[in-house]
Amino acid sequence: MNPDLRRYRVLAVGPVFAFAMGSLLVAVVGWSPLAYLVALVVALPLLAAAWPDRLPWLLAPSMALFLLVAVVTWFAQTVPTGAGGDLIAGTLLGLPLWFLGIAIGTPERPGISLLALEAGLLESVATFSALATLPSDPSPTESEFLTAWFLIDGHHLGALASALTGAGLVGGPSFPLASYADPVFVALAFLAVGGLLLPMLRSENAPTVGVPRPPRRDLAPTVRRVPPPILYATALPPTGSRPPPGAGLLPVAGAVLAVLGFEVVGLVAPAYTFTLVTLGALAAVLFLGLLVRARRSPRNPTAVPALPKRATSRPSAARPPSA
Amino acid sequence: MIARRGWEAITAGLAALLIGLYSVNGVLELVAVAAFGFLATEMIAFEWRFRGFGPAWFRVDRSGGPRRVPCDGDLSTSVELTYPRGPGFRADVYDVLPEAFDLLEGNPRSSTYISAGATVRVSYTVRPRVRGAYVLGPTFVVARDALGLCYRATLIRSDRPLTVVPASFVGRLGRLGVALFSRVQVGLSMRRRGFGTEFRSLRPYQTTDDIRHIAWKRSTLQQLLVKEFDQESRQEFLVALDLTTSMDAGLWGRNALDVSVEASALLTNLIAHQSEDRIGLLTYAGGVYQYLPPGRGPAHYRRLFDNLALASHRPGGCPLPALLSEATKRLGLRTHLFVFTAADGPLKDLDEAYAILRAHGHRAYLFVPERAGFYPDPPGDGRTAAMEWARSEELGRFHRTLATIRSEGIPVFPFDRRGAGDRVLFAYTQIRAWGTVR
Repeated sequence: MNPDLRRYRVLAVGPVFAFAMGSLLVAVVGWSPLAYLVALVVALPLLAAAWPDRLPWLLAPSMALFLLVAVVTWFAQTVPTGAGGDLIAGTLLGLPLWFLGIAIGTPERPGISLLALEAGLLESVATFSALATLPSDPSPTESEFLTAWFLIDGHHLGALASALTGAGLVGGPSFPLASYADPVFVALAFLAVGGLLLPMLRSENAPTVGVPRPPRRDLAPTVRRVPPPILYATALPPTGSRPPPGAGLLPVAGAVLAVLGFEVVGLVAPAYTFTLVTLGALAAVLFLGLLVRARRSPRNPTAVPALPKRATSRPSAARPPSA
Repeated sequence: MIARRGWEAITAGLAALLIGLYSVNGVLELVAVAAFGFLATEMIAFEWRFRGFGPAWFRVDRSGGPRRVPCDGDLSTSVELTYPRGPGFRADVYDVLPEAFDLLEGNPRSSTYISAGATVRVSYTVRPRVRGAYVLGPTFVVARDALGLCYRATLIRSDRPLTVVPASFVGRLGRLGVALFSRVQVGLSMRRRGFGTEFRSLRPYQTTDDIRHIAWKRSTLQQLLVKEFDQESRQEFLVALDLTTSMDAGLWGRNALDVSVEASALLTNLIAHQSEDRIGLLTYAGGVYQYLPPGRGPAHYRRLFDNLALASHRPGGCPLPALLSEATKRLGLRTHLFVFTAADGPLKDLDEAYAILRAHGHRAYLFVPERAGFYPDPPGDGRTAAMEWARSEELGRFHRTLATIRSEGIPVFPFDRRGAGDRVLFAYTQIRAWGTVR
């Protein structure tokens, strides 16, 4: 991706996570230093904004922390307190910036960025919902926050299970995560998704597709490694490389149409919104699969020419003995 | 076709939708729907537009050029691709090159944006490294969508056959005068005392002279005179190549047969440059495979070089006595036989075959590859005891074979992967100077 566009991407995606992190920090003033330290370590991938190629190394400490959290949670059997509680609370505190780091640290992989954004938004909604159940004064302790967070998630899973077993989405159990719709958060979330996708329209260096090449064998070393000057260079100069104009607004139109469709269905038949989203997504994937499959079908064998056999490097035509 | 990046994006879009469904939160679902709609529209639109993408969408022209190139020669070529109509796309245009070609200048690949009416030309210069028959092309065109999520690849036939003949560095010495009117060619004196049939002069007898050369009619009892002869001014040469798999020892492009062909080409070049001697070719594997009688002239040399370029291994064995017998049957004039063989076959009756060859006035010189020397030492810890053992076994067999051949009085020149050119040059110089290898 163009480095200039990367800057805009950071500016567009960052605010929603900064908002989530800031809201959480304001609400949990007075937590132990261990929790803040853990949050700092978890937020290390944020540095990928400057060094995207070092993202794996930046993720390594947080991965170790996640493993530790899983072990602590497994053995605690209940909401942990003390250092264990600080550890988990600090992890939750740093998670928005962790997701932000991944979203902006993988500019060449839109899928990963999108997934990080969506998961980060989900985590932020869960955090906001947990905070909403706690009194703002005095500030909740780590264990209180963790209890609220786990309760919210538990209730949400319970409601989902109830809905799936027959109660349905409309008129059934209440979903704790469904009701959160802070206007600032909503605006920042849309800014983030726009900032994630729109710079791709002007992307100039999408990775090239691997072109099939003949496999290398045990070659003799190149006889002359430094080529001499060419006295009789080709008379026809190569054409220059033209930069592509970009993707155009077609994908944006597709996104707008999808959102409009979602809204219209939500207004007309809210009970079927999620069902129709599922069906629409499956139809799109199916259609895409059919297009790709049609290309591969043998009905038009000239459409997909077979790869050439390896260039003959050895004489194959046997000549009859000449007298 | 969906690229890896595309699979990743569509999977992530579906996962985002799933997260939105899990949260039952309108905001999250809306974000996921927008992102999925964006990515899916781009991919579907590309696949729909380029569903018929194929070679018929292009016109391709390959520039003219030679069909025969020496190993050390440069080949400049270009491929021009015209896209008359259709939607614009990002393209990778890639002209397939044989792996034995070194790129010297230019680039056989171009990444650019192609719109209707555009022309893309890739232009480059290569130098082949290994002799043989090759094909330049075909040309690949890979169309990619703007986000790098999908691609379509097509192959455009624009093949050109190319024969890479062995290098010809003798030609660089420059064109000299007509050989028949010159006594010196390539630094070698052509007319020397030797064992030919052309009378040169008389001189007093010395005790080391052959008494059959005494000029009895000119001699007196006090002074015996002997006749001196010039060496044959026009000599016959025959290169015999062993094509059995025994000559495949070594790395690709530098095995025993390749080195032998290189040395044969050197000899051919020397003779072609000198333009007085005649040279032929005999290849052997399970019998005589090819026989080009000794000759001269540009057409003959071209034929010889083409056959050298295409020489490759054949099934069958190559017993040295049989090879010498077959050569004896085919040769008329006195000929110098340059035999490149691994000498793996049975050497029984070699004495008889060689005696018959000599009786017809021919002389044989053997160039035997030391096959243990055709593999470079592996770096670091690659040297194993097994390899050392195999090398010692092969060296032992090699020296026993050499001893057997030398015991028959045949001059033998062992060579390894560094080449046999110096041996051939030495032998040819000796023949030109003295009429035989001393």
